[in-house]
Amino acid sequence: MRILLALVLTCIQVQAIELKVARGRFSLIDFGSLIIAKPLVLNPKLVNIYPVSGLANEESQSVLVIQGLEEQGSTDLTVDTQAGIYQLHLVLNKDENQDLVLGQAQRTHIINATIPLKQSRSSIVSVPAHINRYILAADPSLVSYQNIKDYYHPDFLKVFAIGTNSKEGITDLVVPSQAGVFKINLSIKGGQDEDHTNIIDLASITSSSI
Amino acid sequence: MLQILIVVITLVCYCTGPISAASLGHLSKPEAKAKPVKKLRRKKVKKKAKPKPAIEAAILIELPSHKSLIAKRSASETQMIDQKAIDLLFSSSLKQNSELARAQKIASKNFLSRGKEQAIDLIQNSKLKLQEQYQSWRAYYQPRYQRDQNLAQTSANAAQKLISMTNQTTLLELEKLTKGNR
Repeated sequence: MRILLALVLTCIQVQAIELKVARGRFSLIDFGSLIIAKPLVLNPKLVNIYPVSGLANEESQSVLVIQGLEEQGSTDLTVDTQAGIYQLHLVLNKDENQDLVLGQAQRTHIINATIPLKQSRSSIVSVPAHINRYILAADPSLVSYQNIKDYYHPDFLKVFAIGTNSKEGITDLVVPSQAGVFKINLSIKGGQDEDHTNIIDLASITSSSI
Repeated sequence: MLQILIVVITLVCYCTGPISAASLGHLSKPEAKAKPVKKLRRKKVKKKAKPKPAIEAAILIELPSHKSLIAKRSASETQMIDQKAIDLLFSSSLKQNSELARAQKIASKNFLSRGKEQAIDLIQNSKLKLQEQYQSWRAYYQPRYQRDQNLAQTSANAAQKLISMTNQTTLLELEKLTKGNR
């Protein structure tokens, strides 16, 4: 009986879930359980994948960040987690991307608000907990990382700055931290100086998490 | 009659002149019969759509892990604290030496007993100063040391050893001084 139940559950999980991924943008999948093997992508030319941690232990990864590389095409993604195997069908397109929460224990904070930025300006990003190894940008040609704290300072892994390189463009920034994985949407445009956000405090905008 | 004939011939020649001239080879062929100029048509080149630059890998930066950073920070901080402790003890030792020099100066005078008492007082004061400095150093750095008890103990032992060595040197010098004066 148990075997039958397990089989049924596995079959449910193996059913392909469709997910839209846009070029130069991020799609997040929060599995709610730990990823136990390296995720497999059928066509790695279409997407890049980054397993990240939103937990205190930076080695425990339960969130997958998918970066779209092309405007069209589709591929399959297989992820083995503690809760079972997930089969996802990724559909690439120009500008529509989706995020997905699959488990109960979510560790993602997806901030839907678009943060306006101006070219050749920088913004301080404040994270409520230590950053878990990576800072990801869906289109790294648009923004750059700037270190503002000394390596030995306690806030070295909590505060940093981003500079804008391009005149205009939209991209996503993902900051995995011990307090969860944050995703923000950056919009670089020309215009008045007032349109630039000087400080991006991720702690104050966690309320809009999904 | 002849005149009329000449006029007629002249008129005929005038009217048919170019053709007959061309037939005689006086004029070049293109002039005689101009060919229609072909209009040059530019080939329409299809504008190729600019390929969008490839998207780079998303990792903007890879930061060190918490564990390695804490380990490095701890090692660096301990080194810094050790250096400060050595500096502090060195300056204390220098102060003690200057106090000793003063004691020597006083004791070298013929007033032996009075000089000895004064020298002992000075050394006691110097010891107290050293102890005070050591205590203040401990109070300041102790919380930082709590992360690594072993390192804290090693450093504290080293500091204590330096103090006792300085004190022993001072006492030996004092003994020499008093013996010399006797």
